[in-house]
Amino acid sequence: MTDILAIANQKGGVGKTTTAVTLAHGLAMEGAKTLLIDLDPQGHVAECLNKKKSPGLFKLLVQEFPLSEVAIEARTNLFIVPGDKTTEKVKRYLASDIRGSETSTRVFIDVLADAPFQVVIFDCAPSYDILHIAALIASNMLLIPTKLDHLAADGVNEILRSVAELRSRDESKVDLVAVLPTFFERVTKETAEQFKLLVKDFKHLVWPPIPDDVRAREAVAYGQTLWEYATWSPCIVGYKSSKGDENIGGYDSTLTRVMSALGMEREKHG
Amino acid sequence: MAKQPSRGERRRPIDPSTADLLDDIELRDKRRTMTKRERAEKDRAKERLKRRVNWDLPVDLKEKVKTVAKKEGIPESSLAAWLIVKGFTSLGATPDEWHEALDAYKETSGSPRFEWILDVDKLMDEES
Repeated sequence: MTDILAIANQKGGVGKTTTAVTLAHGLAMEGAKTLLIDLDPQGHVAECLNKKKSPGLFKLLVQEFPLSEVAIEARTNLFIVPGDKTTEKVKRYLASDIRGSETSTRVFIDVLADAPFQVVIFDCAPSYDILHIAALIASNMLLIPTKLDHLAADGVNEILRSVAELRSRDESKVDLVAVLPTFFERVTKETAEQFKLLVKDFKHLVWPPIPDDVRAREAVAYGQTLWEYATWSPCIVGYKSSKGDENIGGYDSTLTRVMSALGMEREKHG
Repeated sequence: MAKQPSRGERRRPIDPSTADLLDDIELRDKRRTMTKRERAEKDRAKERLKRRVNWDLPVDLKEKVKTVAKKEGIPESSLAAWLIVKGFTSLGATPDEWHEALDAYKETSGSPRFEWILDVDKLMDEES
């Protein structure tokens, strides 16, 4: 069975695409054949992987090309359905779909049925639209990256409300939710205060954070993922804990957690 | 009758790594509000902690260290450190030399953490 993970927050600039690309490539490197679908009209997934933006999602959902023709191999084991400004048209098409709104919101369930991938990841756009709903309906896990400021935390509330609403109507299969603090600045008082509030509000859902790290921006400029550009960087390895040798946070430990949540065993760690 | 204290909100577990990080933040917060003097004292305590050991010694040996230290007017820890340096020097420097010196006193350990323990009583009998 294919595991489907949505990476979403209705607030923009919280690290959704970096998280999606890093985890997708991490999973692929661990041997899981992974498909990353870009639902954002900015089309940055392709950019991050040194591929050209293209109307992949439009071809898949509007022109009804088969997935095998639309998915591009970006790295070994890692395939992407790229997006570009035509993704906006996809939203309009689905919203006005004569097949009816229920069919439209279940579009990914249909498209991904029997997809030859172990994991599918949705990089959602920072908006609550039909693609967003369709991704939440098709996914069994939701990861919510959030910056540590008041507005981003509000975005977490919004998306959790949306999932709760879908679940109350039995429309969403999401049974695993995690909140991933990003751009974490250990020495900033405001970050610490917001982190404490986040844990107070969302308790066990909050995963250890991703340190703020300029390498995440640099990696994009070189068209490389963080695993290629700076495996040793804080945003990958996390923080040294004052209590022991185990590091806290970073994408490496997040990858281990995602794999464990999806019932996959990781061969190496670190 | 005394009022039953409120149980408050039922606690839900938070992620252990997240909890560790929260503890770190808490420590940092505490440190931020300390005076210079309190911070210096905290640093000294931290340094002292690095040098602190907690070992089990045979009671006779412990008493011996206590008696000699008292007689010489020195702290027991100073005497213990002096004796350890002496021991290291007299036994030699290479692992082989150590192995040879310790081998005759090794006994199988009952603890899963260690393979062997040393029969210190045997050594004390021989040396007395």
